[in-house]
Amino acid sequence: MEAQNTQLLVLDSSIRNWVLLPIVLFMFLFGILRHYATIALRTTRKNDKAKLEQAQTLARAQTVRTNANWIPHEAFLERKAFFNQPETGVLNKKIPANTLASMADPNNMVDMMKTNFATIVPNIVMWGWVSYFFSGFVIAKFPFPLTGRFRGMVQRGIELNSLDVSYVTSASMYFLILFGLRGLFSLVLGEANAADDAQLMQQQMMGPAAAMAGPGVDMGKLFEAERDNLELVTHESKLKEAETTLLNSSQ
Amino acid sequence: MLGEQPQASSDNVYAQDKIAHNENIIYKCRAFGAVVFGILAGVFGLTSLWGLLVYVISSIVISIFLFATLPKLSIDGLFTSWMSILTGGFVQGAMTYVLVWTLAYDIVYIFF
Repeated sequence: MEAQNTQLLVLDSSIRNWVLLPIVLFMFLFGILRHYATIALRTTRKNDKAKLEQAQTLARAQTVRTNANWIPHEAFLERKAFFNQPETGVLNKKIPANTLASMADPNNMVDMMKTNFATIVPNIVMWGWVSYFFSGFVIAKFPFPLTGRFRGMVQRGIELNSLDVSYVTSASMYFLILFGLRGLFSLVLGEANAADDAQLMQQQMMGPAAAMAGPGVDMGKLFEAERDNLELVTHESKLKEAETTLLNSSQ
Repeated sequence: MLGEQPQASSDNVYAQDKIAHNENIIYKCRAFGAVVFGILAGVFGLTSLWGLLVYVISSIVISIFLFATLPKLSIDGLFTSWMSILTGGFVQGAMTYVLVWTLAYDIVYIFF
């Protein structure tokens, strides 16, 4: 029924050999290059010893607080004293105020810029390459029909209203390849291949405590809050009724 | 399955990184199926809805294979829900499928 609209358009095989396949190959290889460039540029961030110590102390206090009911009452009081005792408590230590904001830390800036470069620059380069050399002619045909709405998007630079919309130019192929290649990259490069994934993994390995202790977080305030929380815990040991629970369940 | 950082909910404890790893494997299976069936659909010259149908069929086939490989046919300790096997990576796989399908179809039928 669409036969009248769909005129058979045959493209020169040179377009396939010198445009379509090179674009796919180039973008594929560029993606792999980006993957390895990201790995090469990645720096293992050095942790500040004092900061890490504070973060671990905080995490420990939180663990004690959330699991308080699993230890006997005396044990809990001992731990609370360790953290909260005036003067000597670990959480009462004076922490020099963190005046450095996150932007002032040069390491952070460099890392951010590297990540941005690794993701944005390749896209700009490829997009420029594709649109500079291969715009203005049809390079492919989608095997599915599109409505006329898409004409301005997929046939940019071709002012032919009679041409079937499923014939597309290099710009729309670029986006299809860009999104479609992700699946292939996950097959070829393995897990966590994109730059942001790698970042995420790094953060996971460092642990939430270390991530929390990033610059710009005022540990003094956090310590104070944790001290209050610990003070407010109503301790009720679950071990007290352990024997009765056991005996009841075995009956 | 208790990892180093279990995320405690009320009664179930999951190691999120392990679950993510398993789901990534499902996504990989889907991507591989998308490539294979995309080439098939393109070479056989399927268009519009037939191509879509082939993707859905490939997805179902992969789901069946995944079900078959599960130890004792249960998701205990591997996934949080059955849906991750049925639909995990469906949309991302669809992008790969459309790309491979278009490429194979164009290479075979459009040029001369």
